[in-house]
Amino acid sequence: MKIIAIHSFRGGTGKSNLCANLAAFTAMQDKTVAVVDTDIQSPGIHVLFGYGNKNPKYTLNDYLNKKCDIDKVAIDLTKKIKLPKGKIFLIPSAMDANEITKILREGYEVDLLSNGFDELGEEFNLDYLFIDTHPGLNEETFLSTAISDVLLVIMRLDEQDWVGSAVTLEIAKKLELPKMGVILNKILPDIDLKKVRNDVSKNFKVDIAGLVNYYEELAKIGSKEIFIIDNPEHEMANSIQEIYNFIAD
Amino acid sequence: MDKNKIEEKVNEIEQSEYFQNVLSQVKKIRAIKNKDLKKKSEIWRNIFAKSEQQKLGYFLDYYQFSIPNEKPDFLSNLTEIKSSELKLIENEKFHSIIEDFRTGNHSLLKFKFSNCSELVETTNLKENNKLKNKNK
Repeated sequence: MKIIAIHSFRGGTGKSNLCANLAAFTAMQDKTVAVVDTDIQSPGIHVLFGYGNKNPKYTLNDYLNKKCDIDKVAIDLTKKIKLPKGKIFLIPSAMDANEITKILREGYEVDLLSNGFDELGEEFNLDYLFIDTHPGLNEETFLSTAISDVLLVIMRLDEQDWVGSAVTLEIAKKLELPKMGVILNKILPDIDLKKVRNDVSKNFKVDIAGLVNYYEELAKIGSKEIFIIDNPEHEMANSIQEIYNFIAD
Repeated sequence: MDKNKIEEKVNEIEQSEYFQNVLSQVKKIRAIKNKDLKKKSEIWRNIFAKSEQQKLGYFLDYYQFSIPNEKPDFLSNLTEIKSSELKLIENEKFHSIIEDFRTGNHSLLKFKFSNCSELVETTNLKENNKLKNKNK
């Protein structure tokens, strides 16, 4: 099983959307994948999986509070999201404010999370486990990214993202993560991609995992669904393929 | 990009208590996983050595070996044949599977090392973790 952490320094980079689309694309390569929402402060990826109005029986918070085994938290959403191939599970975080503040106040143990990931891998025979993290640099972020095999840092071509992403990547190097890459998301049409690639390589000294354009049709969906499932031939699929090749290598 | 500003921020984080805490915890986890994987690697090396691995041609899910730059060297002798996938293998079935391979009745066997460790050591990861968490 490979653990892929998806992170961004700031909110609004399209992290959760990209995470969901990448996870679905990976599953569509006939793989078994899980998506864990470790963004305990502001969980949201479950909305993309059509779980916006439902209260799951168990959440990641319950597992971290030792109220249940992690396999009880995993929801098989393969049929619900009409995945044409492969399998996908979601491990959601609690939306309840009390649950959120409790775990933020009390914290949780790294090895509990790490063991939980291993158990998920065993129980569901996972090929990939995607971690959707909370934006920014904080202890929870370090915990969930530090135990990953690949870290993908998502940023936009926005001045506010450059410094923060650079700091994130330097910290990831200090944590000795095996592999990391940058994804530039929401790129506008008139941008010189060759220059962008050079700037990223020069400033971050990290591989570019992918470049994803801004798509109005994706913005219009507003996270109501996972775009790539119904649009596998869309141009965006080429970008997602590039990212998949990066993590699969 | 202001490189001094970046360096300053990185140093500040690196010296923080929470970063050091995470780093030490993660190092412990990695050390356990590395030790575990080396042990499994050795077990499988012996099994394959006895099973005439050259004839059988297993394809191994070598991503289980997530230690950077360190894959067991016997993997380079193994080649993928085809696509019949067996995910959980019980002890007695394993030997008959080897026999099937030898006689050409199976075209590919795909192992996951975590399951193979159960095969050999009969440890239950879930139970072990439950006990570990209980004892905390």
